[in-house]
This record gives sequence, structure tokens and C-alpha cells, in this order.
Amino acid sequence: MNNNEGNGDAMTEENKINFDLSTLTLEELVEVYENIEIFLDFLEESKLETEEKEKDNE
Amino acid sequence: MNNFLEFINKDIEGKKETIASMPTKTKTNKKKFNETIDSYSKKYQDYKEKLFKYMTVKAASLSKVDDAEDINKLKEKVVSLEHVKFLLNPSNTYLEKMGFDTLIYQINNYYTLNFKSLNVIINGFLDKFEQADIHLKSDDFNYTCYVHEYMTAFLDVRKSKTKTYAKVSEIFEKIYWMNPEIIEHIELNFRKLIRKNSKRLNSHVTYLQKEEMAKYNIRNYADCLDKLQSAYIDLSMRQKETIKDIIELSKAGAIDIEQYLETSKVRRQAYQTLIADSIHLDDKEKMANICDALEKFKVNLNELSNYLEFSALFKDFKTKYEKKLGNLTTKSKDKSLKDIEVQIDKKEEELNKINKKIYSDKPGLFTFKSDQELKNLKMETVLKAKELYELYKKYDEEYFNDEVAQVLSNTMSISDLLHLYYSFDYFKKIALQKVYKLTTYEEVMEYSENFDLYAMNPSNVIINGVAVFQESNLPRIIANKYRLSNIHIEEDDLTEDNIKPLLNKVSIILRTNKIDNSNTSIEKIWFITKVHKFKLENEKTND
Repeated sequence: MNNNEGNGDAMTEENKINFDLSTLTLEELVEVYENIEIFLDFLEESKLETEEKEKDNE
Repeated sequence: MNNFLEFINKDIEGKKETIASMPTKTKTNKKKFNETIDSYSKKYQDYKEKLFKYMTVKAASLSKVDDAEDINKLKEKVVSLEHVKFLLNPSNTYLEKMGFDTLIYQINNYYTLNFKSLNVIINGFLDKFEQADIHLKSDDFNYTCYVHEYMTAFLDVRKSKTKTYAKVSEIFEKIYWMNPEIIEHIELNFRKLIRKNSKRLNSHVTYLQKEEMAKYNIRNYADCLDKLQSAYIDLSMRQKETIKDIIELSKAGAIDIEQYLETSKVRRQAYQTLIADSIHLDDKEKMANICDALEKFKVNLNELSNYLEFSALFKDFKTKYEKKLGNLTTKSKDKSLKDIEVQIDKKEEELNKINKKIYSDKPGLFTFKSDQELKNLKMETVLKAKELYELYKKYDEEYFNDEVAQVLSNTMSISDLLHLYYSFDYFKKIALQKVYKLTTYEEVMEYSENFDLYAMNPSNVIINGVAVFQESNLPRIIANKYRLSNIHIEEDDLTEDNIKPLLNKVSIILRTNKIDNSNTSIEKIWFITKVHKFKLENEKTND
């Protein structure tokens, strides 16, 4: 995967790194996919209710 | 950092810390917080999609295994030869070969098994006659005036091809209140017509036999069995489970591939319980021998499972005929059968005479005698039909006894018994219905079809040597046989409840061995299965 991401310190959008997914084992591929899914669920649940949203809900 | 997994794990950790440290008190805080979440979500959704794309391509490349040969032609050949075998079966007659016995069973059990449609059964009879170029008319249905009335209306609708049987149903209801035994009378009438047309029906079967024998270049029944056996062997060789099959089973969830991983407790237990300790699992040669034995063991287990499923039927036969061993001779039975036939002919003639009094000279019309006289005559026909119905029941019993007498002996094997019931569908279904207390035709059909598959199974070997009238311990025979091949089996493992888990253990070892000797691996199949699961989940989310 030509992946370009920073975690806030060492890696930024400008500090691009290419990831070679073929170096991952099959088990690691599944693991990373599942970790991403879990993190996406976490993000979804973490979102805060804003007033605008609350109004919309009303 | 060049490992994507490590990067993701650290990145998630960092992002979680960032999120946790963000202020959320004010409206602006909240807004900024959510904006951050959204940007992370967008980025990770992008990762997910790209990763999924890569994994899908990877899984597809791993799934590329040699395609199994097209075995459809072989399957068709086996089915065709089985049909020829059915037609040439020397144990039964045109009655069974044309399927009349099945229809008689259906009409005979119309009320007991809650059949939905009498029309379907009657049309079934008429179709079979027409196959032999016998086109029945309303005057052929003269067993009683009730049958005549009903069948005249029925044939009119059949001829019109409208298939609107509403008027026929009305007539049935009207007759039913005068004569509730109308269905029995229809059955009797068909039985009479079958006997009356036996020569033509027999000729039709002979014609079919010749046609099929010429088509498949078969000389006789024995030749057919030989050809069928070699077709079965060809088919079973090519039908062996392939890696592709295993992948599909795993994707479909029919097998749990995680049980096959080296770390799995289930897999470890399978090896520990079935394979002798002295065998090193890395010893490829010994493992190949064990797997050969396990392949045969699996076939034997399926046979044992079938045997146990129908053991109550075998026991029932044993109880019924054990006392008759030595007393039942073909000659004496044949005589009893002929005696009953004579009685049937005599009574049907008497019935015919009464009917003639009811019918006018012109067939199909009634003369108008005095009401009372007509009522009495009709009552007489009903009584006569009742006697005939009982006689046919006796006839059926003697007919089957006669067939049993031909194979009944101390050495009669389970295999002989399977062939006997397989050849006589009517008696097989009666026996199954009684032994397993079946109450619907669907249940009868399920048992009957399973029985036929068992009876026709070419890999049956154990039952060839198991005598019906002697005690046999099949589990012991099987267990002893496989101990010689370094396979650990106890008699207790071979009970009805334990066979399924045992088969699972055998399958795990056999599939693992097959995968280990192929260009794929259990891990790859596990990966393919996972990607397939992700794909289904994504499709579900997108819907």
C-alpha cells in the first residue's frame, strides 16, 4: 500500500512513507484490517452530540 | 517504520491519546473534537478500502487451484445406468418397474397420510397407462356405479385440458355421502385394470428394456451391473474432495477452518484420539498409509451410520420372518397367491353381474329400476367391493411373502434385504411407515429416499457379510479391522451419537493431510475465508 500518513509527531502528510503490504503475513493482514475496523467503530462511538445535532434530533 | 501493522497500531494509539486530551467543554471544543474524529474516520476508511482491495486480490490469487474435471458427464452416465438397472431388475415385475406400486401405496394411504390431491394420484395412474398406449375410457371404470360417475366427470376434465376440477370435486362430495369408500373403489378399479392389461404393460416394459439396452450397449442385467460398478469407480475417483471444494466449504461456513490450524485444540485432539502414539506425524510415508486407511474408514462409517438408521427396519423383518425360516417355500406361496387370484376373479365376476343389472345395455347409462331395487343393488356392490378390498390386502401380503420366500434363508444378508425392499417400493413404504410410526407422506418419502440411496450405494461392503438372522456386532468388526492399521477406535466410538463427531475428526486429519500435500496451506484458506467474510460484511453495510 502506498500509504502516506503521520501519527502527529514523526509522520505527517509531508513525511510520506510507502508501506509494502506484501511484507505482512496473512495473519497480520487480517489483524491490521480488524484493528482498523475496531478503530473506526471507536471513532463512530466517540463523536459528541453538538447543539446543532441535538436540534436536528428534536 | 516500514511495517504497516506496527504503524497502524502506533498510529491508533497516538490518535486515541490525542482524542483523550482534547477539550470538549465548549461548543467550539466540541466542534473541533468532531472535526478531528471525522478526519481520522475519513483517513481510516480510506486505509480500510485500500487494504480490502489488496486482500481481495491476494485472496483471489491464493484461490487459484486446479479446477476439478467436469464430472457431470460421468454423473449422467451413472444415473442412466441406474435407470437401466432399475428396468432390468429381475426381482420385480412391470408393476414395480412402471411405478404402479407407488401409486397404489399413495391411493391406499390417501386418508392415513393426508394426501392433498386425489387428482394428482389418479392422473398419475392414467399417465402410466398412456405411456403404454392404453387410453382408458369412462366405461373402463365400471367397478361400481360410484366409480363410474366420478371417473366419467374426471376424464371429461382431463380430456378438456382445462384442469378445472371444481365440478369433479362437487361430484366427489355428493358421492362421498352416499358411499364413503369411493377412494377404495377407485383403487380397486385401477388394480383390476392393471391386472387386465398386464400383458400390454409387460410388453411395454420389455420394449423399454430393449430400447435402453441398445442405447447403452448392455447385454443383460449382469452386464449392466458390471458397467455400473465401473462407472461408480470412475465417478468416485474423480469426485474426491479437492482443495477447491475445501475452500468453498470454508467460505460457506460448512467447515470451521480455524479447527484445522496447527494451534487448534480440536485438531490436536483428532490426531491424539485416532492415531496411535507410536506414529510420528512428520513421517510422510506412514501418514500417507494412515490416511489411506482413514479414507476407507470414513466410507465404512457412513455405511455404519446408514445401517444404524435402518436397524429397526431390519429387526422388524427379522422378528416377522424368523419363525418362517424353513416353512416358507416358493411353491406353497405361489399356490396361495394363485388361490387368492382365483377368488378375486370370481368375486369381480359376481360384482360385474350386479353391475350389469344396474347398467343398461348401453354402457355408461343406468336403467331406471324401482328406487328400492336400485338402492339394494348398489348396496350389494358396496359390500362386494369391501370383500374384494380385503382380498387384495391378502393378495398383497402373499405377493410379498412369495418374494421373501425366494431369498429367505439362514444366510440371507442385510444386502439381500436392502435389495428386496428396494425392489418393492410399496412394501418398503408400508414397512417404513409402520416401524418409524410415520404420519405424513413427506416423512415416508424422506425415509424411503434415504433407504434407496443406502440400498444403491456401491461402497457398501460390511453388510454383504452381515446375516439378517444372526447377531452381529458391526462396531466391533470395524474397530478390530482398523486397529491393525494403527487407528485407535473403540466400540463405544461407533454408536449412532458418536459417529458424527468421529467423522469430523477423520475429516480434519484427511483434509489437513491433503492441504499439507498441496501448493496451498491452512493459513491461506483461513485468509481466503476471512476476506470472503469481510466482503460479505462490506456488502451488507453498503446495502
